Amino acid sequence: MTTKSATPRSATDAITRLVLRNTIRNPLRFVGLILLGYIAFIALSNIIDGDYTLELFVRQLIFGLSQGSIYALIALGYTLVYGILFMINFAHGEVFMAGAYFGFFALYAMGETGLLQSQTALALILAVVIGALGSATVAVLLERIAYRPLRSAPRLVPLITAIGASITLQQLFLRLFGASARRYPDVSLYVLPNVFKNLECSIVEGVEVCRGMDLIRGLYTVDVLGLTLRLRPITFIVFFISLAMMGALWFIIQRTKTGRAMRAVAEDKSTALLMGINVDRVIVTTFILGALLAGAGGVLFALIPGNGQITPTMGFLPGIKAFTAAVVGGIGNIPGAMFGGLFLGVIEAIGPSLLGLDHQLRDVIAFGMLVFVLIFRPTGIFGEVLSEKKV
Amino acid sequence: MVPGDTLRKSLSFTAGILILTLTGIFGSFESRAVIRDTLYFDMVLLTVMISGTAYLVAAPLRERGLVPAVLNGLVGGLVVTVGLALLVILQLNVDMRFVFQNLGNLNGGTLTFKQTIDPGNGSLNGLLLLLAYGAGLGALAGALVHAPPRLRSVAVISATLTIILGMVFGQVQRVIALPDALMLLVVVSVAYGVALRLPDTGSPRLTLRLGVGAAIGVAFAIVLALIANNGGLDSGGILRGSGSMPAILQMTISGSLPGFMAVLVVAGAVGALAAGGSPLVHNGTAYLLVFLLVLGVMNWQGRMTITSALLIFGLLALLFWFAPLMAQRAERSFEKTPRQDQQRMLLVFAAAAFGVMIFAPQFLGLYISNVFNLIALYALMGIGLNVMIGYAGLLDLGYVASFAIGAYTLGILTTPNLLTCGGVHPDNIPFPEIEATCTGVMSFWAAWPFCVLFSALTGALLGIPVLRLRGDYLAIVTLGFGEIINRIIMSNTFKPLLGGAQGITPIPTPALDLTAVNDTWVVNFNNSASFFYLFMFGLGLAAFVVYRLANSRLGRAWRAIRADEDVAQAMGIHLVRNKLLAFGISSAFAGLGGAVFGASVQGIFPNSFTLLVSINVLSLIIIGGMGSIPGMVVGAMILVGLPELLRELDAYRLLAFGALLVTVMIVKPEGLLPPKPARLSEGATPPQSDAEMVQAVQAAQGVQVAQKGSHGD
Repeated sequence: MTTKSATPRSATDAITRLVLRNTIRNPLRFVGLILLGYIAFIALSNIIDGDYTLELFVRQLIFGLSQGSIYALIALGYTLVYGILFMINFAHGEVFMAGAYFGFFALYAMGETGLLQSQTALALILAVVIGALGSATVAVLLERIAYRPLRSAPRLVPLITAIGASITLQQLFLRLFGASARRYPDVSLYVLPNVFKNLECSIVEGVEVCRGMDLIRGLYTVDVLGLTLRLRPITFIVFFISLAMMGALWFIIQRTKTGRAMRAVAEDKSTALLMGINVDRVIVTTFILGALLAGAGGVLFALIPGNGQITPTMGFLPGIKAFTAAVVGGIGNIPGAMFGGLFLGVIEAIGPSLLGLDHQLRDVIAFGMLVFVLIFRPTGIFGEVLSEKKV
Repeated sequence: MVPGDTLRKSLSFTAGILILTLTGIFGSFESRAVIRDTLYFDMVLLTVMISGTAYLVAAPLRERGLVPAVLNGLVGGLVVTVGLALLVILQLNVDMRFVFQNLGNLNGGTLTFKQTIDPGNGSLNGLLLLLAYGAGLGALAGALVHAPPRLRSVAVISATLTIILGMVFGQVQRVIALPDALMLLVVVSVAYGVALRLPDTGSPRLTLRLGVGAAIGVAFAIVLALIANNGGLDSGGILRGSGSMPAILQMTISGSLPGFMAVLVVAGAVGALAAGGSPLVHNGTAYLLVFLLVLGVMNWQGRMTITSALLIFGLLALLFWFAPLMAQRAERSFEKTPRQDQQRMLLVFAAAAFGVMIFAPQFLGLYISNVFNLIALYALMGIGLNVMIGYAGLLDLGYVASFAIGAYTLGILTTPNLLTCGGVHPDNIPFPEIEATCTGVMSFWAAWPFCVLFSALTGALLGIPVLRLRGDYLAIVTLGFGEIINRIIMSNTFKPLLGGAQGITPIPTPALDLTAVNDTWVVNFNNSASFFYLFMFGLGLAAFVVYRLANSRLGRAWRAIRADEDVAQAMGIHLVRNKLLAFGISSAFAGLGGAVFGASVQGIFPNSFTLLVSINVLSLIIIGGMGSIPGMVVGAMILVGLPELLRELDAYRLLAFGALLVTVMIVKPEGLLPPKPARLSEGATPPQSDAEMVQAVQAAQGVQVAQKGSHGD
């Protein structure tokens, strides 16, 4: 589809080519451009009218980044599996949900034994770890039972299986743990009482006690650069933890032997097999890595105040959106998935109020963006052009 | 004697069974009777779990003789029951209610055979019973490995059907009375028997058969009418039997004797025709009759008792045992029939089937009609989506979008709203003036072509941006479209037109006004029995159009695109046009389905248009067999009809659905009824396997050699 073009002779020539390429040769792009222009016009007029303020923007940007980092964590799982097996692991959203559930039961158990109250930070970390491990177990079983027997089947078959597995997992969790929402316990993690002297103060037995900053449930008003923002520390924590995990994943893939084996299998399974790589094990590892990220993401997601109600169907929408993010970034491409997730989170947070839309139409923005990306860059923003043989 | 594989397999099956147990599956079905007061569904489940595990464990040892099979089956059954017993004991000591909310008390339930166990004072009878049951049943299942395969499959199928019939007893009990069923069976069988003995040489075979069948029908009708009018239908009369009043026989004394005669004449003709019909016709008749008889038995018994269960099981077993043998015989005699006669016979039979279908909803009752409507709706959509997936190879996960567009178009066109009232909100119009102001409101008949058209148009429009995408990208974008449509119809932004979360109600019911012909002819489509015809019309239309399209130039172009886009393009197939046509035609059927669906539920509710619809349709295509129209109907029956009948199992419906998808994909990825490979030329049968192919080639070479030889002479 990319036209092979000789180096343009002059600037006018280049512009003519650009115009031609986006109008007559590809009317679809033309329509897309007009639509984009219209959207930009609405956004601009909203900004000029003062309906959309800088404060709102910064607040939504921060919220979007934290939401987007969760999307990115899930999207990585999709991208990893797609990179190796060329299949959409439709059940990955349910793996995310499983993480949230396992984390919930871990927190509940620790709450019963008192660990959550005495060692809150440790308990939270443990919950994230248990959530991640639980997700990994689910993913391993999924791969073993549903996907492995179909490795050489036509492409539609594993996709249908994945849809079936997604429904099965969702319903199994629903029947096992109940259809009603489970509520994450209200945890507060106070830090640095000596630095934040005037936060979370209450009067206990006539003495004012300040416990410092509440990292999980706190909501604080901050003045930065003349902007008055109300921020939650948890959004930053989720964002940075996610970044750290993505960094770890990048390290594993680029620098370790396992990572090298994964890249080799992604390149060519049979050659990798000839090189003495245990392809089955590499595939399982891939599923585990993706599930660890998704499971941890599930617990982090549920820890954000407002997301504490977890249900067996909670994985569906984030799962679909994360796949969208993976496609936007260029599926099979790891930095692409990270970028796509963050991008989607931000667009989704900013979009409705910037365009003056109903908040219910938030999801429409996400999917609309997917369509735009596919019109202008079908391989995704970071995607390489896959050869037809591979796809 | 017991290989490690057995233990490994039994343990993994046990793990699955334990997870199912933790969902509270036994408690949920504790009071779901299969046979009244005797057998409940929880026991059936336990039996299936144990024997299934034992059978699968023992099956690989078939070659090694009976003893290892029995032994391994026993071990398999024992492992499962030991696992279950451990779970019961665990529950006695650990409180699991918080985590597993649906898990009731296992002690005293199915797993302990309703006995309360108490390890404290040593009363473990329940668990011992469980272990004994596991071991015994496991050994039995292991032995079953050595049973003749045909006997085994007949027994399993009949038992499964008996259990299903036992569970849907209440819904199907009123379909037909036993005397009616027996009468039909006798008439058809007599006509069948006589037709078999007709001389083979008579040239107008078809007319002769029909005549003989009809004559037999008339003879029976006269005799039965005489008996009935002489008190045969009184209570205790020989035609009455027990159970509810036989509706067809009743016609003899309620003054509609011609109708009664017509029914018997059709029955006689069907019997006579079936004697020389194609195997499908032949066995179809047999299946229909036996099922009518089974339903008659159920009506007679009034409830599922051990007697009726055994009777039904016996009838079904006989049917399934003899059906293949009968089909073989029918095949032989059918092949002897001249081709022209074959086609005429099938035509007559199709007409008879059509006649049966016309009268069916009158006998089936509203509930069953409704189930058939749903099946027809989903089969219609399956046929539509199949154009896109099965023929053109474009994976669409957002089919619900077109369905919703069809339904909402109907909703907008047939009710007063902003659009049909010339831009004025109907709430602002005083009620008496609504009819005068809202001139845009159409009737169902005027509106449905617009629904189809609009759906097709939007389908093709949605297709444009995704034309260049392949496979998974296409899937996810169409999925996105489905979600976008769902969000839009739910949103407050479009509420004035689309009704938001409340949807559009009420949609006026379609009425067929034939008063011009006869003053009393007004057909009002206001219940599921009358909508049956609309759905059947839609299904028939879709099946016809797609059947014709599949072998047309367009259908071949689609298949070429599916096989290889680049090659297809090189062969001069216009990719854009053909793909857009696939999108459009496919969406048109969804639009038709949406319109009829909207009218049949008399309202449009956004909750009906979720991703689950797309997944349902996709799955029935896959499970029925991609590309085959009968496959769609079978798929719809299994995925939509059966769960609808088993409504009470709602809690496990989706779980079973998901598991079924995975299982079918792993065990039989081409679906249950895959399309027959296209016949290359008239009379040529495609080779079934490689071996046959080799044989065919060798035969052809042999012919050549022989020819060469003869030339040499």
